Amino acid sequence: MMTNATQTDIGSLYRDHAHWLLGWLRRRLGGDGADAADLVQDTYVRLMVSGRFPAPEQSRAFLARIAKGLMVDMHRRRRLELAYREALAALPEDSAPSAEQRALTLETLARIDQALDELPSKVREAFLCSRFEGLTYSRIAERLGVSHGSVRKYMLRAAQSCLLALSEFEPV
Amino acid sequence: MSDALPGPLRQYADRHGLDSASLQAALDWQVLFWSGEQQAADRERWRRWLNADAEHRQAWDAVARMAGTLGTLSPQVARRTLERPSSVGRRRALGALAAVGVGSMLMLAGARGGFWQKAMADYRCARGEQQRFRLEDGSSLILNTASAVSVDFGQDRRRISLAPESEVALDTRSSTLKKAGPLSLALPAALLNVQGAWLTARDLGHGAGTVGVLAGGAQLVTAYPRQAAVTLNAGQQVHFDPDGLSVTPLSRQRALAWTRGVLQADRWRLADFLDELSRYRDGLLYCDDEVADLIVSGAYPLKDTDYVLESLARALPVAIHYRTPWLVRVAAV
Repeated sequence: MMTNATQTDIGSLYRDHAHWLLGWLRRRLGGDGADAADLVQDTYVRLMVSGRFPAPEQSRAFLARIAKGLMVDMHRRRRLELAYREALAALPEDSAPSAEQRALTLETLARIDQALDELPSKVREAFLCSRFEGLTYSRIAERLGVSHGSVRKYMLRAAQSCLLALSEFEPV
Repeated sequence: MSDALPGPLRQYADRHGLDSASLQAALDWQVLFWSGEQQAADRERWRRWLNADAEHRQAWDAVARMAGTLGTLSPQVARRTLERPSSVGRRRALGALAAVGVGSMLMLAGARGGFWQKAMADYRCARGEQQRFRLEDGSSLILNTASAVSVDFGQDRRRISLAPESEVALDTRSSTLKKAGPLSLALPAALLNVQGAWLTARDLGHGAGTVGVLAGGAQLVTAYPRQAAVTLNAGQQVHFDPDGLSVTPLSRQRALAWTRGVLQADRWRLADFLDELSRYRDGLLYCDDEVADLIVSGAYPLKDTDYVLESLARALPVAIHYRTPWLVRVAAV
């Protein structure tokens, strides 16, 4: 059962369970605990944003469920950051983007990555071939061994997802 | 043409005031243009479609913006980054990145706000000014000098994000959307959950900020590095920085001074006063060490910072040296 945010004091949720959650995350993440501490924070932020607070007897299960999702997100994000660094390293020195540009690009890439993640892998592949290799749909159809119509359907799904993912974030 | 739009896209269309059939058509056109196989006649048909209806143009603009954002990416970099790594590469990536240690909090707090560009914001205010806005839910928003916010009012939530070093006063008590979802106010280093409240918030940079609650209540969670959560009631203010937070009683008059265009100093050091004043004017404003600890009190009009400097020179043993209008030094007489 959920109670309304106004009836529950996030301060007491924090006091009673933050330390426990930190231990819970540390056991799963290892390392120096900095990630675990960040994720504790993120978990409470997520809880506040949702405005839905658990009933007292379910507090820990509820917090753990949020934290688990955030752990997955964090790993995904880091994977992407590493891939981005490696891709940048392959560029000639003088074309290196500024720090601000890098941050914007990474944010854009993360959004696209997440959008594509929810789609079948052939959609992702078709989209990357089209948008970042410049292949025509006929070439993509050959490469993936699917029909031209399928490629078009894949691209429509990718376009829809990208529209949602990028709609509130449009670098100038 | 494609099947009907999936639910989330229909909601997207509603949220952005787009006609969903037009949005569907715009996506179909975009997918056609991406094929690399379109004919001149397709372009002509598209042009006629585009010019046939204002709703077509709006839908096309939304889709073209998305396509434009994709176009800003370097193809090689995007391709390499977004490629699905093999499981070996994935394990390596996880290991190597344990060292990177990028806090994910900013991503979350900034999520949807993302990395800020004040120019992209929904509401902004020039340096030296204060501006009032009425938000679509009826809340009132006042921005102080050189501030920007972005507003995201979705179906089941409302979110207002502050750009770095921005200051706002927000009154959600007049919100007409009684049944609207919770409202969150995201600062660069903290997140506030606001329930029908009147409050001021300022980001001080470097993970620090202040929030004062004049009416109603709010809950705050800070980001770095020692996270803390606190519930604020009317008449309380909190100052937070990476070392922690402190809650003190709020002076209503002081908290709202800037909304009336007044800089209210109560026994401030001259150096601190000038720092604060310099938020309201372009260029650099500084003082010599020997006058830095002089004490300043009073209410000063923010509209005319040159006049404020003049009055300082009358009240204190200091002289104002204008190297240029943008480089001002306050020195002992």
